[in-house]
This record gives sequence, structure tokens and C-alpha cells, in this order.
Amino acid sequence: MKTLTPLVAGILALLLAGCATRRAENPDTAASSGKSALSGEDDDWDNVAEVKVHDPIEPANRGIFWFNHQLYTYVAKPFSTAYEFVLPDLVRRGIRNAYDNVRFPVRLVNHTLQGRLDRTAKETGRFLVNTTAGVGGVMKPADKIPALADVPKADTGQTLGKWGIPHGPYLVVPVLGPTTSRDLVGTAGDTALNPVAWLGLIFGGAGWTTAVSAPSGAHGLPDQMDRYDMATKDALDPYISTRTGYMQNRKAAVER
Amino acid sequence: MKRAVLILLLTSALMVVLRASSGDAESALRTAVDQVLAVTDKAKGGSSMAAQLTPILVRHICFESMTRRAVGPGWRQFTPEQKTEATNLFTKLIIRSYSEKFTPGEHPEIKYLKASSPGAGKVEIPTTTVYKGSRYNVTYRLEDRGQWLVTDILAEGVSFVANYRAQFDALVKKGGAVAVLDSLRHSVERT
Repeated sequence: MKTLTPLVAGILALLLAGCATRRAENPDTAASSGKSALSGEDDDWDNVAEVKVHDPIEPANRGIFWFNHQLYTYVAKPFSTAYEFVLPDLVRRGIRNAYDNVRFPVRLVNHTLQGRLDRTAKETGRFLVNTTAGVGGVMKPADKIPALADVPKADTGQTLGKWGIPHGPYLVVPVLGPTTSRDLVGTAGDTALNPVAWLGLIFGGAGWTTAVSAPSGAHGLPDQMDRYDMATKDALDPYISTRTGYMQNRKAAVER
Repeated sequence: MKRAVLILLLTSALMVVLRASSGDAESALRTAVDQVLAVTDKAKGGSSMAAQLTPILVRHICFESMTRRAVGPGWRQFTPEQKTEATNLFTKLIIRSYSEKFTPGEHPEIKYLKASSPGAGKVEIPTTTVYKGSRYNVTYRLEDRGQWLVTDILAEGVSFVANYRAQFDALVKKGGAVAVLDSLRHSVERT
């Protein structure tokens, strides 16, 4: 879709004028200040929180971002589309749920390290319910239990943030994408806590880990591509949009 | 004693006003969401989705405020004509971006959580949205502008306005209003 139709544009113009009119009718806004409503000269941009980013190697990061974009566009997206085409939605959700369930130790340890024992208990409850009634985590019956439905995710980078460790420099890693030096350490911690990664150690070969984690990567791709599209498709500068989105998301995760 | 009673009365009155504000804002948001879902539940996708959603979205979202805040202090450099054009282009971009998030046949389950009021005439309504099997935290910021209008949406902590602010800041520094408008035109025309 290149542009909206003239009819839509016309409706837009009319209704935007409506928004301005409503504002002018509001004594707390434009009318009381005696200024044009559409000009919006009430200088309320300070309401927007500034997103602080330390990006000392931006040119290099932009280069890797460009490389990743090519990789996502020409390899990951076609693969993701094929994966969605081949497997029915119900099967894909089952696989995603099962892998999410297996990552239980990551969340359990981090809730505990963050001192959120209430969440540790709920996470344990979710794991038990989903593993038993949900047939190994393929289904998520815990979502239907109000006390267990809304447990925030927890990861090692988030734990480090809660401990007061700052983000550090913003980095773009080949293939993996945006991160910070703190979250990069966190990713190593999450990998160590992920049972899928243990298989290589137990059975003595990276082949096991690859065999089990390959579907894990595939099941996450459609979601990751959706998120990537969300950050970049309608962005004026996809690099800045992705960076700002990542930093806001991680800040919110630490504050949650 | 009299002072204590007075403070109690004033506090109670304030609580009643804040609760009423939150209630009105939530009611406005529910109406907007229900109207959007009534369209998306029947839509078959594509560009018709944006066309159908436009009249609903412009009734419930104050795009003029979103544009002004997204551009930030650089907005002062814009002429009235440039402000109008920037608002129209940004509105088209936002509506297209929002419409593309919906997949035909998928109905989100939305749970409205306890609202808070960060200031007079402002309400934040957090929700949890389950869509295509994934759970998202989505917070709506509304302001009383004669009626309650959405002025920002935060998905998983990412503020729509703050995200565009970071992009506009760089453009304003680079080439002022002209650079912002060029970039907006380019983005809107892009498929």
C-alpha cells in the first residue's frame, strides 16, 4: 500500500480538525492559553521521557545492523514464512509453549536472585501445572488460573539491572541483534541456565545442543521477525528506532 | 480537629474525582478498542483495514498531540502549514503501522488493569493483551481534552511517541522542519 486513498485522506483532514476543535473547547488547553489549538504551543513535549543511550561505536553498530538487516530480509524471513506455511498454527504454538516451559530454570533462578520469592513460587506453580496438565508444556493451562496467569518474565540481564548495574555501551551483535554490554553478560547467564544448553554437556557433544535448539530457534523466528518489522518497517531511521525500542523495553523489564 | 476533618473531606473528594476520571478514561478506551475490534474481526486484511480503521482511530487518538510531542522542541521551527502537513503525514504513518499489526481471524483477549493518574487530566491504563498465543503488556495514555483521547501507547515498555522522538530529534538537528517532512513523505510513500 503506497498511500491511503483520497477518501481516507479527506476523512482524516476533517477528523483531525475535529481533534483540534475539541482541544480548543477544553478550557485547560488551547482556548485558555489563547493560542492556536492545532499549533499546540503548550510546550508539553517534556512529558515524553528521554531515552538515554550510550552508543560509542555507532558507526560500527550501524554496519552490523545493515548486515543483520540483509540476513533477516533474505534468509530469516523466507525461512520464517516457510516454517509458518509448513506447520499449522496449533503445532507452532505447541512447540513454542514447550520450549518456553523448558526455560523454566532461567526464570526461577532470576526471580529468586531478584528477591521476588512470590514470583518464584508462581513460576514454580506455572511449571508444575503446564508440565502435568499441559502435557509437557505443550499447552498452557496455567494461563487460565488467575493467580498464575500474569508472571513477568525474568532473565539474567534484568537481574543485573535490578542489582544496579548500568546498561553499559549499546551493541549490535552479528545475527543476534541489539544488546548492551550488561545484557550480553546476561545472555551468557541465560544460556548457562537453559536446560537445552545442558544437553551438550550431558551427552558430550554440541550436536545434541544443536539438534534440540534448532527447532527452538525456528519456533521463535516468526515472533522475532514480527518484532523486527514493528521496529523498522515504518521507522524514519530503523537503526535509531530499534535502538530506542530496545533500551525502553529493557528499562521497563528492570522496573517491572 | 476541624483541619483534620477538612483534609479528610478534601482527600476523599480528590479520590472520588480521580476515580471518576479513571473510570471515564477507561470507558472511552474500551469503546475505542471495541470499535477497532469490531472492524478487525471482520476484515480480510490489506489496505482496506487501514481505510476502515481510520475514522475510528481519529475519533479516539489525538494525532496532533502525538505529532507535536514526537517532534519535540523542534516543533517551534515549523510554520503552521508545515505543522499541518507533518500531522497529516504522521497520522497516515501511524494508522498504516497500527493496521498492519492485525492478522485476519485473530482476536486479541484484553484484560484491563488498575488505572493510575500521573497528573490532572491524565490517566494511564495498563492492559495485558494475549494475541496469537503471546502475552503483551500494553499501556494506554489518555488525556482529557474535552473528551478522553489516547495520546500515547506503550507496548512492552516501548512508547510510540518516545520512539519517534528519538528519530525526529536527529532529523531536526540535521535539517529542521524540511528534513522531518522529507523523511515523513518518504516513509508514507514507501510500500
